[in-house]
Amino acid sequence: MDLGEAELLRRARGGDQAACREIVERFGPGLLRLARSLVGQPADAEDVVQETLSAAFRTLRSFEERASIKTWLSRILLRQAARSHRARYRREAGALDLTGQAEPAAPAADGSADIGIDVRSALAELSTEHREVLVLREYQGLSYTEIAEVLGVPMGTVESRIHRARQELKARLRDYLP
Amino acid sequence: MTMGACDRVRKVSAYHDGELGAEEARLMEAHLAECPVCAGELRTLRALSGVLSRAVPLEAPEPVMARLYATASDVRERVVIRLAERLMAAAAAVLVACGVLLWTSGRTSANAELQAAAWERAAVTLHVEAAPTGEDQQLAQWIVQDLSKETGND
Repeated sequence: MDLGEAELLRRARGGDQAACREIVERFGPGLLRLARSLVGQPADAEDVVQETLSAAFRTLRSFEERASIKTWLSRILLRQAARSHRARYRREAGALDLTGQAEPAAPAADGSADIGIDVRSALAELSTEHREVLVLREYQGLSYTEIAEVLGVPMGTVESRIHRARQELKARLRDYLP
Repeated sequence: MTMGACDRVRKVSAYHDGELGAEEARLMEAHLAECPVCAGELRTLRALSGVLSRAVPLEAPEPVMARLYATASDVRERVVIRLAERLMAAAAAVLVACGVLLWTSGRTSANAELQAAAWERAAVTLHVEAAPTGEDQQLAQWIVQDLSKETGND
């Protein structure tokens, strides 16, 4: 199915199952990647994406199409990820663990398991504002304008936060950089 | 050797993301050719993006996608069912309203027939059956008076 966004939304609102599947196919992998970068555990990330899509399909009629579908879904996902953090915080009585270290990964020959843990740990140490702008840029490929729309901040703020977030990550991940 | 600072290094991030306008990007490219600080920053940012990309897989596992497809299907079915239920409730309300309207208009028609019968009887018989106590009887009186004038039977 090769549909423009407007037609895709129109069909999905009408209950067209094929259109709904198309939305999942187009945006699901990107959402999963974004969730994985925000939430430590893979299972939690999958839950966040499932809750995001569930909320999105329930509220399709209220989506005013002033933003792209990707931007709209990203905004929903950020809220769901924040809820996941709060739920995890309550479960662990204050010991919020975003490093993914509760899930020990077998070291791979290319060190990919280590890099994943170190990157998620470094991302977790950023402030929420810095982490959100960076992952929306790096993992969702959103433009600064779209990120500003998702977060409800000026574009200049997005540019400034991304710059500062990268400076922090450079310091924490210097072992992986030239 | 320690690199000096450059006041344009803050813009390298935006350049890396393709967020500079055409003219500003052209000027940045010219600057990068001459500034080792900014050129080094750009190399580092490109490497950083590569590290971030490698750390989080792009592909979604098939079982995860299957779960997401099932979620979409389940939610849309529930939304469509709720919509159908609301439409049926609205249709039922319309049918009840129509039924009430038909019933009340039937009673009105019956009363109208009784009223018509009174003045019709007066018009036919030239006689008002009872003293005019309401509009119906008054009308009958007038009709009788008019018809009597026309026939000269006052």
